[in-house]
Amino acid sequence: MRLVPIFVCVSITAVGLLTLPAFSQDEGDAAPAEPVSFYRQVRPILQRQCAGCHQPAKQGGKLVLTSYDDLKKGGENGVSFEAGDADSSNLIAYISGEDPEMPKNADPLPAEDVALIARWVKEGAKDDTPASVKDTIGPSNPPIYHAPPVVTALRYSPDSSLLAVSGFHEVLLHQTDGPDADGAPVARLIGRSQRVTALEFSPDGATLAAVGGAPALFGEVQFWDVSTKELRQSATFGPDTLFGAAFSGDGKYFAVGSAENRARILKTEDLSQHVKFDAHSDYVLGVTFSLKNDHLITVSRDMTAKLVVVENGQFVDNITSITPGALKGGLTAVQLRPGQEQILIGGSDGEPKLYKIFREQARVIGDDFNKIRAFQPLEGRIFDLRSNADGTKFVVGASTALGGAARIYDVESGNLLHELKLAEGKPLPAPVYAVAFRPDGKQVAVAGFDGYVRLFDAETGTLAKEFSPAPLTPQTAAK
Amino acid sequence: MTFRPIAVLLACCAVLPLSAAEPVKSSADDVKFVKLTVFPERLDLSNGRDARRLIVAGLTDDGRSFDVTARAKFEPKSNAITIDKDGYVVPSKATESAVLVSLGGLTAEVPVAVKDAAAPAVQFIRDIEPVMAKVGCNAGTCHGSQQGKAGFKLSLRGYDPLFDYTALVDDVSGRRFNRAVPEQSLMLLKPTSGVPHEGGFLFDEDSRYYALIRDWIAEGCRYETAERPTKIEVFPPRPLLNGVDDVQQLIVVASYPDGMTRDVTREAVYETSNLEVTAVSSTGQIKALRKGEAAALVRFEGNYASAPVSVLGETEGFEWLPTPEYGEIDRLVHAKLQRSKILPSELCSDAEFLRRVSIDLTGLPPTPEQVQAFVSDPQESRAKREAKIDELLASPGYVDYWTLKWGDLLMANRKDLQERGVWAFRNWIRESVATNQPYDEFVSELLTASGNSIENPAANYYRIGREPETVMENMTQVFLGTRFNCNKCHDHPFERWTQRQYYELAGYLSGVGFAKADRPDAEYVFALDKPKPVVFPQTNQPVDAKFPFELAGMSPTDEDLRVSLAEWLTAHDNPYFARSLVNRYWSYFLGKGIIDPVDDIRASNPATNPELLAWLEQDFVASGFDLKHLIRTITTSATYQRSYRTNASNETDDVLFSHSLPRRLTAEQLYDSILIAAGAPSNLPGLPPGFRATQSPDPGLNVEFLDLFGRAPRESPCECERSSEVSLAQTLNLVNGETIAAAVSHPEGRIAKLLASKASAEEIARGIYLAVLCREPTDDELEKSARYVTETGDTKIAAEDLMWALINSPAFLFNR
Repeated sequence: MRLVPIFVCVSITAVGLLTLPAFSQDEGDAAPAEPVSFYRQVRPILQRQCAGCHQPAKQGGKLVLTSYDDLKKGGENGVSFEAGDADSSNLIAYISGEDPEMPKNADPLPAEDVALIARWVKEGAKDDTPASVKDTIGPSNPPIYHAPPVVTALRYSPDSSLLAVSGFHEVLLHQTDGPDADGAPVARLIGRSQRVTALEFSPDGATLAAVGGAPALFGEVQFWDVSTKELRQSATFGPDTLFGAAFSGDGKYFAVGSAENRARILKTEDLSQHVKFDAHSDYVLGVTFSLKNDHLITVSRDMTAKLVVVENGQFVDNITSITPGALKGGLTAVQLRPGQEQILIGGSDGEPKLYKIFREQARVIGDDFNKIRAFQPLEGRIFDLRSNADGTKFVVGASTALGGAARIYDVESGNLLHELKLAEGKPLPAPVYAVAFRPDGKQVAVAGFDGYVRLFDAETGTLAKEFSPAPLTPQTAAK
Repeated sequence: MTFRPIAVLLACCAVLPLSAAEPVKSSADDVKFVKLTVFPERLDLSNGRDARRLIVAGLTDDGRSFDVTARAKFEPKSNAITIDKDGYVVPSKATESAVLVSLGGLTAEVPVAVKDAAAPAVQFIRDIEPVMAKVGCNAGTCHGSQQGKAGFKLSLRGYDPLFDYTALVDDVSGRRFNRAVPEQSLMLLKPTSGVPHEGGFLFDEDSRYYALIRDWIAEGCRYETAERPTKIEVFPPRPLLNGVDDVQQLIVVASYPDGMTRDVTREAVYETSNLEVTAVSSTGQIKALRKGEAAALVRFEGNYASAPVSVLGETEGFEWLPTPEYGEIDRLVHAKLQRSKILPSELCSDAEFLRRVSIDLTGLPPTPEQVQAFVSDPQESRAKREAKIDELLASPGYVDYWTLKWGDLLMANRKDLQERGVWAFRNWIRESVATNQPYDEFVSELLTASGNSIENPAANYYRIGREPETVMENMTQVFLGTRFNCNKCHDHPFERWTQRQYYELAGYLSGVGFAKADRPDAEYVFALDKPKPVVFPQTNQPVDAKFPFELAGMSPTDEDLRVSLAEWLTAHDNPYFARSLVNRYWSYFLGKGIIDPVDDIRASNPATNPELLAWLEQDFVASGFDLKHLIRTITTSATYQRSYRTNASNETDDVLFSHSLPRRLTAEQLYDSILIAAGAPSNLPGLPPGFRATQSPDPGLNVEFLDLFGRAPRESPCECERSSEVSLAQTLNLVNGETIAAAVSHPEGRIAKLLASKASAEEIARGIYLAVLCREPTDDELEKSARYVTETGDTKIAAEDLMWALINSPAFLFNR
């Protein structure tokens, strides 16, 4: 060790060191918290946790919790709150305490949510909902359409008599060949979900399931009685919309996907959750049951199609190849090929494909053994596909964001049967998000971005009718 | 009292909008104005969405100008226009009108012509994309990240409008908009916190942004084919702020391919290049924080611009004093200094100059004999300095040192080239340096080299990068001073370069083939008959070779694509080639580039003295790309020869070259300087005895000391690879390391010789000062150190202590 003379007073480090300013943070001295916002903070909690039962179409306890005015009005047990006095407010009493009364048959609200609502009441329970975003739509206040809503779901009833079309906040039930000259639907099934992402009739045709919700607020399954046009049941799931809908062939189960990367199998009798499935890493956009109803197949934006045991929700297999690089974009649509243990799938690569559901050869890295065939790709991304009743043909719709296309293919030969076009061979004017094949095999329906439904003759591929499923205001209709 | 971290406060200043209505405290508060001037002098509003703002300057009777935009009152002269809450002039009727501007009894009138007051349909590219960039939706930390955020991905800063449109409109069957009730669109509920949003609250339902997006949805979410703007301009182009707290509102105007212009001040995104000197609000108002230079960096829809800002300090009584001005460099530097009210430092002493220029030109300090000869030379100082520069430029040390520098930049290393290849490549560089080969020829020869890598060593260049993309990245960073590697995965986030251009430019290097040569440590580099096309990953399609910007008279597709590339690259009018080189060389002598970092030239990294850079470039091109001429021009300037000691007016300046910037010796300089000071022989592993560190061919020689002090590992072409950072390990090594210990006490070293010659304590002290610091000690230093040598008892130990101490002083460790 060498001793260094003391007159080496300026060392190299003095040049290199930065002098850091001293500071401290005093949490206790923070600015007073902003008042709680009904619109931005309280309402999302009510939407997610309470409004499944307390909505205009259900009115449990004669209480509706989808808007400030309804909340304030209260239900059969009186007004919901005393502004400024949380302790004597019904709303707080029902959701707080050891074993709160609400939500019924569900976990209590998180303590911080209860505290937030209580603070809002204490601060005067003010409504800050901007006038422009008040959502007061319900059966007695149906949506008014200044512009046709994007159509995201289409389905024919099993007896081929009805065509269900998604609207804003509602399902528009039309005659199978479209409306008469007045354009009026057979019925408007107005529910709580702004967005209806999937429609499905039960195998017996008695129930119409509407799946949807509001993005970033809640997901919902609605079961409508097809004969009475009444909402039989509504169940809320998760913090975002649900996607996809499938009844098991025996009618016992109903499956949905979701934006929380989860698939659920529900019991049709009461919409209670039978099992959940969490193996996907992105939105689960499509579901279908196997022929024997013992398996569920889910497809996701994570590019995979997964096989799940219905009984216990266990993951069995990735049906498509999962080799990195072999996957080309997310999968959007799936349907069982009727009568076979096979599925039709479609997704971002625009190429419809037919797969065997069950593996007959052991997995090898890089394999794609279950693939039976790929069909000629469409330009853009596939959003929906639907087989006819006997599984010999299917209709598929796609979008390039600026335009769309729909086609009918022959499943066995793989041949393209029809490119669906407007009169005079003009291409479809807008992205296609929904298709349906009428069970009697005579007609297909195509709809999407522009909000118009187009019916085509399934045999010839010619356009039979074009209509707005939603009743438009006279000004809009004139445009 | 709460203390908040300074960084947080600064960040707040940089992003919080300053309300136009609220008077801003500025140094203009106590000033008496004699006149108001308004920019622009007139407004032409082309349609109902064409809103424009004015900036107002108050002039004082002593000729100073203050921005008073935030305090001035704006009134419409008629109902053909209105003034909105942000102070923008909005048309309401197609006719002539005017804005009346007033402040403290002074008035001005700005004529306004409204061509059309109707608002055209909202356009996705012109109206919606800028909003998403402004509020940060498509920022790299939010939905613009590689994976997007929460299931929603946008292109980074909106470089791909169709991708963004698809994400907003088409994804998940139109999930993000609601045409039936636009207000219920997810893309409006998220930024207003109508639904939970991790990105927080960004604007409310009454804001202009909200209205734009709502209207666009109501109009049908149309995607038009309109193009993005081709350029943006910032006004005033060179803001001058009179002191701390003074402000300057900017106006940003975008030009579109169809000839339309737009005031995009509200939509542009602002940053400052120096958080300590200025803040820039989100509405485009610069605020002075301390005296100095900074740039306001502005981006808008893939266009970048900057405005150099000068903040004057206490200028009361400032007077420019005559100072040596040898040539154009000095004239241009002084012009900038005068404007910024900064006086340059005095010229440095002859001894300081000698050490500085010797290290800068040869990497080695002068010997005591050279110091004494130079200092005692009776010639006039300027002349003898110029003679010394010529002498050094002609010395072998110059060849070794600049060979090392170019070896770094070209990344010569034995991992890629093997030992034989690395020496061959070094010798090729040496030859070029020794003959002062014109720079454009040097680069051309390098880029078009073919053949056996031993017989034509320039071909080794391709053995280092190998892949077209890698060679292209290295090439652009070294020879153009730009970073094309940023636009490999997406369009360049701070420049106009697109991702496609990355692959198109790499296409010029797709025809290089490699074959085995006669021996295992050589390769044969040749032009393929059929180039392997470069594939653009976005489309998975091959792209044709194409230059990112065209130059007149170029044949873009010569038979060997590299010939075209070399022609284009080294062209006289290539705006990056000569400019990046002179800037790089300038930084070697002045410690900082005029654009800094020197290999990151882009619109958002402006030159601190653009005229100086332009002159150097033009002079270098006119000289025939003569590198020695360039070095001579720089080092013979008074600017280069200034002292590192500062005065009151230039102590905070470190970008305008008003004084010399001390630079820590590089690893090789330090190593060689220690041995020269100690008089010890150089004996590096893997090199012939006597070879100095500056003569090493590559970093493959295992010398821990050189790694510790940051020699370039030659793994990247970045100038930043050569580290000048300071670490504790370095300090410990300097205080207590083997390298210095062995050198100082070497049996044939300087101290041993001094002791053997029975030198007096004074002679020992003086000898050590001359050897280590390259100057005579002052009387005081001599007295103290001689006493130390005498009083310690053991003269050898005392002399070694003294040398050790001086080696540890900044005067030795820094070139200053």
